[in-house]
Amino acid sequence: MTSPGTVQQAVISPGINLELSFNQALQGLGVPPDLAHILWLPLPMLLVLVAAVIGVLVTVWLERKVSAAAQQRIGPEYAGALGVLQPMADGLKLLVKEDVIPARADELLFTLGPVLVLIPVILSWLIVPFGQHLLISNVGIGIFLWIALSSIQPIGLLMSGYASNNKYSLLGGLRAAAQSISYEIPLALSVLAIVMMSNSLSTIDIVEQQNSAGLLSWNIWRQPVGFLIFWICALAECERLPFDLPEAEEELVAGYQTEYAGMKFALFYLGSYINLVLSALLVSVLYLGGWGFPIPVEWIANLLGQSTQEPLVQVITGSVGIVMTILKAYLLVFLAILLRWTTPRVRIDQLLDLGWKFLLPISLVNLLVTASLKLAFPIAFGG
Amino acid sequence: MAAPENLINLSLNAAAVAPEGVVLLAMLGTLIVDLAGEKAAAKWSPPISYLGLGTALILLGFQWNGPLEPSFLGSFLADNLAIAFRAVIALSTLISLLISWRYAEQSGSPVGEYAAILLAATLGAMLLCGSTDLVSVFVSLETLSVASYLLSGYMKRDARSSEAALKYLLVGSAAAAVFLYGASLLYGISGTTNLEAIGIALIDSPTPLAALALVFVLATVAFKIAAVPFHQWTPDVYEGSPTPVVAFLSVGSKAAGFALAVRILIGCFDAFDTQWKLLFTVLAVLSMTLGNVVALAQTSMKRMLAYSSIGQAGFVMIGLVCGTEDGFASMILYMAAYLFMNLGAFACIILFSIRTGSDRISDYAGLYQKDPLITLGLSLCLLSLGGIPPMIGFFGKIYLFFAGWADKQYLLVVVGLITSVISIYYYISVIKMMVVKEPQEASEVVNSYPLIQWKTIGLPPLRIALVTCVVVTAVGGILSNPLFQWANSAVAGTPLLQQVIALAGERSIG
Amino acid sequence: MNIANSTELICFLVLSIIVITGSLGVVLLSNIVYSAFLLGGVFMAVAGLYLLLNASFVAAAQVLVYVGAVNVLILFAIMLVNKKEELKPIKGLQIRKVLSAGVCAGLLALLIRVDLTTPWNLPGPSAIGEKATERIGEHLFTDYLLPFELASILLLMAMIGAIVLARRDVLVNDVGTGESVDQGLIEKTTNPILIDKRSTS
Repeated sequence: MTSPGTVQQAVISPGINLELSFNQALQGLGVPPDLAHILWLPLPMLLVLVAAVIGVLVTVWLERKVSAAAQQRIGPEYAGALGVLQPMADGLKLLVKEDVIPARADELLFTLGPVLVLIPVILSWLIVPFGQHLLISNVGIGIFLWIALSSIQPIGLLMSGYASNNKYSLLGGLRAAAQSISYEIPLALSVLAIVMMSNSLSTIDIVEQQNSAGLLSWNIWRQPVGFLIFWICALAECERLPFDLPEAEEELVAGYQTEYAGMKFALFYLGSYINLVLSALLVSVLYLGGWGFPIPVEWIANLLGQSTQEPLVQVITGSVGIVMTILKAYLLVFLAILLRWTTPRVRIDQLLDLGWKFLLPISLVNLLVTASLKLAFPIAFGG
Repeated sequence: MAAPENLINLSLNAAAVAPEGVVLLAMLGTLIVDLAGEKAAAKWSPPISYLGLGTALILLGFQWNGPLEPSFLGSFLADNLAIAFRAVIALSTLISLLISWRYAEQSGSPVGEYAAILLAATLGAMLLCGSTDLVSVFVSLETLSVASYLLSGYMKRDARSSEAALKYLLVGSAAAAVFLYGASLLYGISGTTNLEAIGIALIDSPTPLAALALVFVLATVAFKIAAVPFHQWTPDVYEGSPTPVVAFLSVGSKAAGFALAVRILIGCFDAFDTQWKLLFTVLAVLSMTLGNVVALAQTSMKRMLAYSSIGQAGFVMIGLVCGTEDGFASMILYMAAYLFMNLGAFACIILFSIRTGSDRISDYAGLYQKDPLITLGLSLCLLSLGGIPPMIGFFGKIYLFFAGWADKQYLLVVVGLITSVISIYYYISVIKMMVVKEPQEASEVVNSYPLIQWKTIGLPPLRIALVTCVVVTAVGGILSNPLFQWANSAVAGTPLLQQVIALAGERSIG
Repeated sequence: MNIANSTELICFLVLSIIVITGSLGVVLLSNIVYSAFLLGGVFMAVAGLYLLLNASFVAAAQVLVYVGAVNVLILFAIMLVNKKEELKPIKGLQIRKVLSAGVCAGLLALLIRVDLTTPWNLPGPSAIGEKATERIGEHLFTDYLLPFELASILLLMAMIGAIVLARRDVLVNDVGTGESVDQGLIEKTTNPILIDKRSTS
């Protein structure tokens, strides 16, 4: 029997067990083991929170700079070198802004909505691996947890849309929820094709299964259609242009965010960017070999005549893993930002048509083809 | 649980569900044909459905007295009891479809989807008859129920139809939830979902919890066969649903309910034999009384048949309560007889509705001069429903009462006899309305009766169904010996029933 | 009792309180939107209970199906049909409420009594944890194959039926005779029922 709290495993870096050393250090100070364990529990969560927020700050800065470049402006330049501190300033501004709750709005639901949007996204970070042992929780249901958690989001969107007591908000909330549930199905189906190939739901297994021959064994070569479907659906789930209809300002002011200000607005803002980074990370995990270097690190180590068991090699492998994951993810984030500033928005009926009449059948066919290929070529498709 | 490499070599014995497979193919066929448009659907859906249901019936015939191996690892069993009930259901769908086409076309409903949904309901009902596992029981029950909800709301522009569908949906979902609760209790007690294994576990430990599960499961069965006091949905749903759907609900769906009752009560609650028999006796007495008495006061033909079907279900329950060889055989026989007489009556009132747009009993006044066929058919079927010799219904009822009397169920038999007399009164009053009235007393509807013609698409199958049902109802009684033999061999070829009969014999001796 | 056990107990108590008060709220609140949101909370808490039982796959499936699909659908239905309508006060509503509360309380008492008198087979089978996903898959493709396949037919039929009932384009002509039709029951009623009465008056 485990409680949800103890399901959290530890952040274990290669060769070094952080949890163990932390516990030992505390016990050295005379703290009982049980208490040490409880003190340890919040740390991984805190780590996730910090990582997510830093990821968002970088992304926001990137977005500002890229959008400026796309429009031949300079973008933020005064706050820090190249304006790197601008996102911090933005955040600070939102933090101290007045928290306005519209008259006749439903106060409780109005406050709860943004929270419900943000929490599932942050929780999903539990399953993102940065290296062989570098993830918060290697839960067996791995990627399925993310799919389940992301299905909670529409409730928060509907809630804030309804609670704002504003027709644009309500319409925006409904649109957001409709979009979210429509694109979740092809998304889940394309993930299912990957799961079928790696015989596991765990993100670690999925990455390991791709890292036998470096670049060539990445899933993107075996699942090109799945990759495209996943990427499109992920953009739609994040409500990024060209799919940002819930916030289409020409039609709906700002959708479900219309009435929000201050920190509550910041929560939506944060949620959408964390979701973007998370989606990019998951694309890199599912299709781009996760922490794997294009040429397997073991090969290089063997070439240099070093054993992979050596502490130095292990530390280098771990750091390369983290760098590769982040690099791949930010490449995708960059792509998403470029897409945002260069593509026009689709109409709502086009959006739903695309989801239900195109992506859904294609992803079903993709799943079927993957299953047949798996039976026909078990070596290449994880028999 | 077998190891993964052994899973491939599992013997599913899937041939047992071949009839259902054919029905499924027919359902998919009608859906594909429907893609070509409404005209093509109207032309091709009927032959596809006939072919599917006909093949299913032939396959069922081949299964008769076949080797008894559980299929799908204990989810399904094609014993003779299951085959008999599946045949009744498939036949009732076939006849319901024959009498549906004209009705559906004249009301402008999509015909292809109608056939597909009805076939899906049949599929669920047929699988329900043979299910020997709580999960298969539930899923097939839901297939039948959801399809029934959809069908009863099929006339979507009509508020009565939508109201019927909504009522049916709400009450039906509640019943399904209660069933699930009961099933979860059973699983909790026994740790298995197989009905036989649960039965064994219950014999070992007949706890109060199991009694509670019995009550919950029994409520759902009673809902499905519309036994009083779980009948409240019936009149409204029957009145608002399209008439051919009512025909199917009153025969096919009810037969599935009885099959479920036999499977669960006899296969699983043998340890609570006296308790469920007592409960069912109460239900049967209430159903026979209320159904037949309230039917007296009805002015709408559909509503009258709804209440009469509640009463008829009460008669069938006598056979179930007996639990003797004759009891089960009479139950099966009466279901088969009820199939023909009730569907014959429905064929007549559908034809009348199509020609006049009315189902009020008073509108039938003086019909014999304008439409002798409907008058004759409806009279014969209603007389049979009332149990007048020499119709098929008479022999069915006599056999039921005989079985009840032999098993000393005196209360049930006496109530059955009294309510039969009451039912004869309202059946006869319809016939009197049609036959006895003078031409000047005929209703407006009958006075402006249209010219009888059979050319319109959809009418010929209706005529075939009507004539077949009426002929079987009228002649089947005299030539009923094969039916008796069939019903008896259905009981003889079902180990489940044989066990119970043997047990009951031991009890009465001991 | 060690810390792991007491954490588990506390989690169980908190989740149970959420489930019970939440479901009471779903039934008793007069604002239907609140009821719907609370229902989502109840589903989440039930998923938490599954997690406590070490059934993480079932918990995730519960969240995905009940919160992500069922509850969102309910909310959609409520928000799209936002028709304010003053319903006529029902006679004797208070008495009915008291009666149904009495019946429910009686049922609850019965259940509790039965629960206490039943000799439960404790402890039950131990949880298989991470292997549950595989085990569920094996069951679905062996002894529950028939219901699993039948469920696909059930869903197909429900989908087709829902589309037929919801779609706008109606057939306006009888295929056989070419006459125009109204998609209603053929038996026309003489006395209008509830819904018609309201729209005409």
